[in-house]
Amino acid sequence: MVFSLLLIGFSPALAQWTGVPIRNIPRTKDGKPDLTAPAPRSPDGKPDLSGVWQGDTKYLQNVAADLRPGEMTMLPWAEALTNERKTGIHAAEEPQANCLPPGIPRINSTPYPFKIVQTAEEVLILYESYGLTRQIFLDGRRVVGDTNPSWMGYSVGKWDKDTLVVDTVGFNGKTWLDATGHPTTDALHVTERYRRRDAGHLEIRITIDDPKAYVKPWTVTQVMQLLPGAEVLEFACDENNRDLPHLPGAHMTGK
Amino acid sequence: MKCGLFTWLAALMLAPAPLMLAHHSFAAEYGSKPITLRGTIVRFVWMNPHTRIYLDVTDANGAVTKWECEGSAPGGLLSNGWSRGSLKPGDRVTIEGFPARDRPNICKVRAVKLANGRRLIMG
Repeated sequence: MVFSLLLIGFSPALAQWTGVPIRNIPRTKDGKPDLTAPAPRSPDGKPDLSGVWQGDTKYLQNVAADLRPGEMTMLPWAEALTNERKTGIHAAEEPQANCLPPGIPRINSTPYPFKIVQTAEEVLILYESYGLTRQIFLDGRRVVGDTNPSWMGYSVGKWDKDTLVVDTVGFNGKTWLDATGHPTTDALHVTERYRRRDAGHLEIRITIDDPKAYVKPWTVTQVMQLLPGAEVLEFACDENNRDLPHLPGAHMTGK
Repeated sequence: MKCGLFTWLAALMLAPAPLMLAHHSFAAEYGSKPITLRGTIVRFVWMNPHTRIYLDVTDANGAVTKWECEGSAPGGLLSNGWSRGSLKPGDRVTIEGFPARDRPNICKVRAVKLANGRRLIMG
């Protein structure tokens, strides 16, 4: 009976797929998530990165937005291509316009949340963006030899004190780092340093090392916000993608 | 679909939703000069990668123009206080948006003001 009353009492919440109170977060005295509390830890003592996070879409537009001149220098071909892409004449060639994966690190700044599920052996990331998933192996394996080139790469991680250091290689060189059009090549190596600053904020320090496109490696820092109660929903991009025929440029082929 | 108080509270509790809720760059497709449309909802298509609002806009002479306006993806809108029932055929609304560069009567939605005065941000 009491249970039934509880059900009735909380039925608006239970009826929602999102908005369900999460458990693994410190709370303030009034019961709200304490987003500035120390980061929770997993049973093995590591910081627990688990949660639903939202990145900053400022970097979707320009991943280098916070850099000063000279901190990121493109090779001449990459700079020329970026300048063309900025004008919009290649808009139909942008992978996102074709519902193709954004790649790393762009997926961190799309306007869709992602969920981190952490275990001792691997960290899984479920991205609402394009319904993509990512496996970051912590078991010591390495990418060796020729891999099948991919949009999202192959990720391995290791803990450096309280920071999860993730290395990703094996890209296909087709992704744009942002809507501005900063290019990538198959030589791209992304290092992400995930550090949960506190319960509500996840810092990702990202180093782009792509010697075929950039003069030297460069680093940016993005901060993700925890979304307590949010869930990763379905994003079936191809459902009704009607923009493509109206965008300048050639559509991507061999999709 | 009902949108109870909890939905709105939940939406308010979430972190500030990004205004640019796009799956790709809009700059090549839409201009930057804002337009305002007052019209009647014909259809609200709740699909990925962008929702679409079809509405009839009637001018001072009674002539009706059919508009198609593109919005954000359903997932992002749910977090922003929207639901697939937010707009129904026959609803009188005011749309703030940006017109397409190459086609008439097409726009990208920034916000929708409902008849009850509520303003829903789209992106």
